[in-house]
Amino acid sequence: MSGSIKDRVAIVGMGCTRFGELWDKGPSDLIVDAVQEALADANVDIGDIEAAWAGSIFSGHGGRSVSEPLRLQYIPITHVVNACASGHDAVRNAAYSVAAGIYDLVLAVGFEKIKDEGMSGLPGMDNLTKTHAVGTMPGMFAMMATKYFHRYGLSPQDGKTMLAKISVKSHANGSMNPKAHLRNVLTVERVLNAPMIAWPLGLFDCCGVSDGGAAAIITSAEKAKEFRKDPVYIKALQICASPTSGRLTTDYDFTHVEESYRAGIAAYKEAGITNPRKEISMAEVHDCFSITEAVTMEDLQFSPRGKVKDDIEAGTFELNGELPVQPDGGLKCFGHPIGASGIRMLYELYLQLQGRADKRQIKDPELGLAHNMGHEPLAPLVSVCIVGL
Amino acid sequence: MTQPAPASPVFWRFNAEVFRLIGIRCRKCGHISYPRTKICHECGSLDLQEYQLSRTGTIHTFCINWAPPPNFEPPIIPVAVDLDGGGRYLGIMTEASTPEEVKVGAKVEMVLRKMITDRGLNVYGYKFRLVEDQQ
Repeated sequence: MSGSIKDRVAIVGMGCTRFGELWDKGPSDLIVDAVQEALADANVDIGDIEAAWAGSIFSGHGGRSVSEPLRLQYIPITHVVNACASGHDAVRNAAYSVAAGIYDLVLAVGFEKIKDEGMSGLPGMDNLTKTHAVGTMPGMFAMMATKYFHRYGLSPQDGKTMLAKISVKSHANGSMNPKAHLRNVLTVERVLNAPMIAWPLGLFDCCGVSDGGAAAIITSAEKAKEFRKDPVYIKALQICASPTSGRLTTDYDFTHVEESYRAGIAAYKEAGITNPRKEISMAEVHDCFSITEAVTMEDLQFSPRGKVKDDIEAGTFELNGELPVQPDGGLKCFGHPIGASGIRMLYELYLQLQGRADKRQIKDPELGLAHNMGHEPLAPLVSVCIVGL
Repeated sequence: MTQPAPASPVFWRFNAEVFRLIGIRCRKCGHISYPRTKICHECGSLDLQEYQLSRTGTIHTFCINWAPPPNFEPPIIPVAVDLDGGGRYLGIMTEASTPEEVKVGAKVEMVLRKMITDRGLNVYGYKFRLVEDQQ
């Protein structure tokens, strides 16, 4: 593989709706609201967009899902469905089209109207597969927490306290974000005493269930400064699809996610990063559950294997810490409107890099990493995007 | 979305896998996989033979799910079980009077049980129970 996306394309406009239980908004509202903000931010007209990619699992049905609400006129539009990485993959495909020299100005938009699916949690979970009685997503990730505690000798109380600190940190950040769904401040005690969802995970170990939309306008690195003085350049866009060996063999250990580890390695290579913990200024990772964030810190090489507890207790990932994680509040506070999440993460990194993150502003960030993980830990699909100045 | 209806052809097609517990073993490298695959996930060989899974094994990990999928009564105790002789089975526990009885490393055995009632029909499958001499 000789090609790299590094510094070939730039994001020149972004938009993001408020996330939440948006009963009065449908998919079209989310799309229009996010894209209007992105267009104004880039100071371009909808008619300047030459092609578009739309990420959505439940709320989109082909390119017309966005051409109609946006009144896009006869341009090519692709609907991207790639599990929880659908938003990142929409950005990836849009970026590649610009890097290939086909278009100068393209749109990536992600959206999901989860609340129209009529249930708590994610719809579409079969209660039985053909060969395995499976569980819910909280159940699958809870099995990961059980094994992580067991492997590294943490008592359930110690393990749950470690995880509680992750949620407390994310809510502290989310409380300062007017676009977050959940803006309440938590305490460790409250997290530990919350109702159980799938032991050892309680209510506050689980992310919210929210509607939302987010959009990015992408152009070539050469043209980026024609749009704004502070474009954000794409450094890496990687996707890693599991061969699903984790559920076909007894090798998978339930204490790491091989796909996150490999997507991280590929992205660091593409971006020319040799020491991720030192070089990455901030990260938005897929914290569908607290345990997912804990394990992801190790998979992305921010913490040594089995040692994330030390970094959590040292405050490493807090907003004023060495490597702030979930500066906007994460999935924990934004929920996971699937197609929107990846672009929502990039929106926060974009604002932070431009010094526009208000009370959440991190001092002089240079590189931000966004990570999405789809499906269950045994057989996921992971995306890692790195952006910077 | 709901699961296939109890009379769906998938239950006939997957009978060998679901009820007779047939996985595959690679003739080339010996790798055992369940469910069955067409290509060996270890070495890529297409030379695979049927493999009869054991009904006993060891709990690799578990949880206690208080918000289970539709048609299950909470709590259920999902388990990942490493079967004796190879293969991993994701199932659920039965006959555990308290969740505290279930532990990583505990020995379990499969028993045929009703899983759920769907559209008026019972759906059967395997659950695990603790092997008694472990108590």
